[in-house]
Amino acid sequence: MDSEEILWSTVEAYEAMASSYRRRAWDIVKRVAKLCREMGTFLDAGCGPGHNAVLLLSEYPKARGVLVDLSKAMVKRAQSSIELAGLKHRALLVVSDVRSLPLRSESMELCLYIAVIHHLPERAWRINALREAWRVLKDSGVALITSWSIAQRSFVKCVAMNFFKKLVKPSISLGDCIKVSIVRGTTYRRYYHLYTLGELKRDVQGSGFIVVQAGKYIALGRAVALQKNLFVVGLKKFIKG
Amino acid sequence: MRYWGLDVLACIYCKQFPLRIHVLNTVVEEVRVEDVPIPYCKAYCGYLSTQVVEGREYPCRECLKIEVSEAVLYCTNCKHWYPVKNGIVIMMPDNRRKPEADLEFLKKYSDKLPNEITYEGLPHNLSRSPGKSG
Repeated sequence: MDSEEILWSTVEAYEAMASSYRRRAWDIVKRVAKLCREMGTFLDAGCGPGHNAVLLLSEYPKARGVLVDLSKAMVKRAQSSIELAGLKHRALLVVSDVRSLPLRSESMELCLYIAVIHHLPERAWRINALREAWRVLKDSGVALITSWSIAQRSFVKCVAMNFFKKLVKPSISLGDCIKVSIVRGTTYRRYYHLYTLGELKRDVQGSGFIVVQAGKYIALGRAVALQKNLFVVGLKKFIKG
Repeated sequence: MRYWGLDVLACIYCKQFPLRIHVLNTVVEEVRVEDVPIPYCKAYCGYLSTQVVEGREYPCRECLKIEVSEAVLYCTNCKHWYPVKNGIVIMMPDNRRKPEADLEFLKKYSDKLPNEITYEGLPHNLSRSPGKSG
């Protein structure tokens, strides 16, 4: 499979899972939103069922949100959550690709990239997606980027295998793993690029951002053993010249 | 989508802004709009198809009630067109668009859309029969 096929097999998995997919909003979203000068328009890229966008739109009555996902079924799920919450007129739902955002430059106050860039199999694509976030943000705009960590019990075997494969083929990346899920009898494969915190910070910085916060993210009320998420908060600042 | 989408949406290929809208179906919905800042849009008013300028009055409260459920967004620069179906904007890369679905959509609304979209729009249009595109 080439990288494009790997990406679309990941999308297909989300298409199949959409109807049963439930996620709670992340409290870190609220914390990061407070860093914005004002909450005008935000982007939720890889919005999934829309849980984080619903949270922000409810919290900020003047905000409007653009929800983008490559899975049409997920965007439909997001649409029903948004409608149920009575937020329809402040949400724009778009089926599109984070590698080339359907947005004009400097139009957003906040970009949420929650658990999305780790699904892009090529490093160039991940960087591209991050540069797109930078492009669409206004000056002093804020981005929250999260990914899965390489230090997870369930992926030890995969990372160890990659380590040995790398001895033969140095181009292999340690964090490239596949998560297999079975939905209604069909097997789906989701690709993950598992990050180290240093690597995630480097990629965010390399895309033009100033890294203002970074660390492991533990959702409220979750066991510490589940700290599988890394986060970086990036700030877009124009350098005066 | 609401018309305000046109204040932020740009072509995924050439980043042209604003896109041109051809509205095919709308639904008027009751929403609370008293607190809405006016003008609601920052750069482009999609409802009036004009740039947003200071000191002018805009019908934002009226506009925000209108749900555009079916439409075509068209890039006048690179000729790409994007459908809006059931209120969802679909801006997929060319290689992920189904020619049959695109042609069916164009056929269904051919009397409401200009020829530059139905016969010249990209990536698919009615000047070619299905299966022969490319």
